Amino acid sequence: MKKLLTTNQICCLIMLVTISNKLLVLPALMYQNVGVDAIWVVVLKLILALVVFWVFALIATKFPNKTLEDILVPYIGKFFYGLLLLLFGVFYFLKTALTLVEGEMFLRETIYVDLTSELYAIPTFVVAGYFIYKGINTIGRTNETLIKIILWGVFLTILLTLPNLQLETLLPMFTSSADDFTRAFSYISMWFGNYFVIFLFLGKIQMREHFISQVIKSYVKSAILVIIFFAVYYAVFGTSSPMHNYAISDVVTLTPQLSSLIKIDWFTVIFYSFALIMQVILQLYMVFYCLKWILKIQHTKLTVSIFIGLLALMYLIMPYSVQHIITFCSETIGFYCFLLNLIFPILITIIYLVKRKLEKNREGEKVYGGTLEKE
Amino acid sequence: MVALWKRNKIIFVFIIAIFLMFPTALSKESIAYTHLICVAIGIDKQEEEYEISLQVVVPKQSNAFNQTLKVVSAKAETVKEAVDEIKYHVGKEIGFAQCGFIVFNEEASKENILLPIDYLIRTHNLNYNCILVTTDKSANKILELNGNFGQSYSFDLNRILEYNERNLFATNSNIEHAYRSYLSPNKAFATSLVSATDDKSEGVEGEKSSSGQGSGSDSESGGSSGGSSGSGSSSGGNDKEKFLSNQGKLALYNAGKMVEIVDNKEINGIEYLNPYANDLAIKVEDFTSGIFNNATIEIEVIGKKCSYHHKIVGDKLKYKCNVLLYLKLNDINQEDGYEELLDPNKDYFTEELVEQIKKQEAERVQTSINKLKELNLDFVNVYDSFNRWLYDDFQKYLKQQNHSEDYFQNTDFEVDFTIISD
Repeated sequence: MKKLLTTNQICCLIMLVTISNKLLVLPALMYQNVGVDAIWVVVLKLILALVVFWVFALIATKFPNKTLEDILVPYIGKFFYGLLLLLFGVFYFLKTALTLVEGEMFLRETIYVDLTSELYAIPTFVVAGYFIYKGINTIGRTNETLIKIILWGVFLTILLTLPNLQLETLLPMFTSSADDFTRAFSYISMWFGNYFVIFLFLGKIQMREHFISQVIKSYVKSAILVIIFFAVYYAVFGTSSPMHNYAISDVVTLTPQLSSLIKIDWFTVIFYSFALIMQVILQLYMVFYCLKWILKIQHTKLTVSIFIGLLALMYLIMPYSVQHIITFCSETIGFYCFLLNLIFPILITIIYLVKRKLEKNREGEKVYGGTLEKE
Repeated sequence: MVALWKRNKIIFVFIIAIFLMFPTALSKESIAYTHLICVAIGIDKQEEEYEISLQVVVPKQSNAFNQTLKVVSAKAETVKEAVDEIKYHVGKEIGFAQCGFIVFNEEASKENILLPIDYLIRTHNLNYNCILVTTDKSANKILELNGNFGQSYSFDLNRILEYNERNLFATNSNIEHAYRSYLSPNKAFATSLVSATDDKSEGVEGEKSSSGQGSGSDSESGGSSGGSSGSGSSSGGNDKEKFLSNQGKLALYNAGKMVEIVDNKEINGIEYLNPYANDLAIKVEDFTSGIFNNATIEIEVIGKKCSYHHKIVGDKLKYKCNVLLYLKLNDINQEDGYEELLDPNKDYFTEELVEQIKKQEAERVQTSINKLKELNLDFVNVYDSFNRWLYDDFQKYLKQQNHSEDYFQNTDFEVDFTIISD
């Protein structure tokens, strides 16, 4: 099988999916539900994802030449594999819609007051279509370059907020009820659970030494950055957090010394635009992959163009409001997304354990057989 | 050609995109033709009508970088209608993102000031750093006087307000802070109070700069004159008032509505309880002890550290603050025995003086607290402090109390000073 991604590229993709979607409306949305305890909801979500990425790294090293399909289909059959892809296809489709509307509002509020949906959507879909057509190798290489800008951008944003930090604002913690906590945990699932896309690259990775530790290190680095960002955001805004929907740019604009000198939020718009476009590309790639498998279509210029054209048209003609999409993704389907995000890791872990046990048994049988022959 | 296209597809697409977008970009109107940049807002309420005054920058073509500040105003029943009225008259959209401050007159401030602000944030992208200010005159007049300061930036209301925030109140008075207080249980915040006066000793004059120097600051109220009835008028007030006056007064707000105007001196004792306030001064008057004979002593606080100990005892909240002060003697004023004071090796902070300072400043804190208790305004953040450090006990306490909003009245304050002299 052709190896399309290097270890470094897969680590960079893991960093992207860890950070993606979480730095715009999510902090404000979570504060409404659980206040400062939102930090702990995020920590818990990220710890769960750590387990999933660890399982991913184990599977990738144990079965280096097997794709996700090769691993799952013998156990759950083609029908259920297709069903799983369909569910994740819908999940990523909604996630893309969410990312796109969040991004459009973010750009309109911060920099392009006159930005029209056409001016925003057409170039975005064209670029995404080009990347989907070129495939994961191109996405991986581009992301490898851009992720450095994105991570340094988030880090610098955190540094710029230091003059406004009031750490006592983070107290009291653990004051929300168990009900609120679990509701918040399930409601925000649409903004998490990006790990499925990484499993698609199983069997396509050129693995280096210490692959598992590299995957874990990359993930932990980006997860820590996300947690620190959440803490900083709540330490800066406190009770007014729900009013600041564009977290990444709002935290820096509150420093009067900076905002009177320059339009400091331009800096965040620039680096976060890279994150937005890479998120959209990766999510659309995932939707296209699922459709391709279910409808048995070829990966050609024509199919990609039709796919992108239809989505662009849908985005432009569908009446929507950002608030409705956010409410739909959190309150209406949040719990189902949570289930989906839970089922897949459990399924893949069980299959991995069963497969490993079978392999061990087979190895044992071989050794035993060898001994008998000798005798 | 086909081979060239195949080799350099990206470059060709890029060139085509540039050719397509270039004419669109060129034909687009300059933003200066379509937008006015608002640097300050004045909100006056008279009877049932709002008068909105906007101080706007009108860019002019010149060899030097030059701006002209103008005040345009309109009256209507709501803030939205008044802003729309101004737009009709000037024929431009108004950009509020660069707005530095919003002035409210007394009548407007007696209603929830966060409502018009909310409208401006939602629909006009007003920034959260915008400083709030209250005036006992007309907001329109304040904007006019501010416009007359010119472009030298030697004086500017924004700077005066920033000075107040930094040195007098040691807290922010911007929109963000107002919202944060409004959304927290104590709901109290303060803004500076500026005034217009005709007494030269009380303010800074807003002189018109010479236009020949290229810094023409032209103030013009009623910029929307000629509009429909009620618009375009100005409540500029008394023309004799040409000085902008900042006397360190504060307008105190509760739940977005102004409840009282106080002199900073009435409540500045609470700055000892604020860990971020360091610009404090102590004045000991008529002090007689040892080398001092009926002396007035001016002392500067060069450093301050606070540690807090909160307790709930019965139905009382005990708020204790230990304040460590680093003091420096600034000035001694006494008529007799001045020669003795000239010895550079003398330690002026005698035991008696230190005791006097402790006593006097503890009284100052208590006076400020009593004033705030009278108004039931929790500027000391008692609620937040107890909620942060004694969450369970405090919540239990609030549930036990019949009137949980009276927690501030039921708080006993104790301040212990430790003094280290320079």
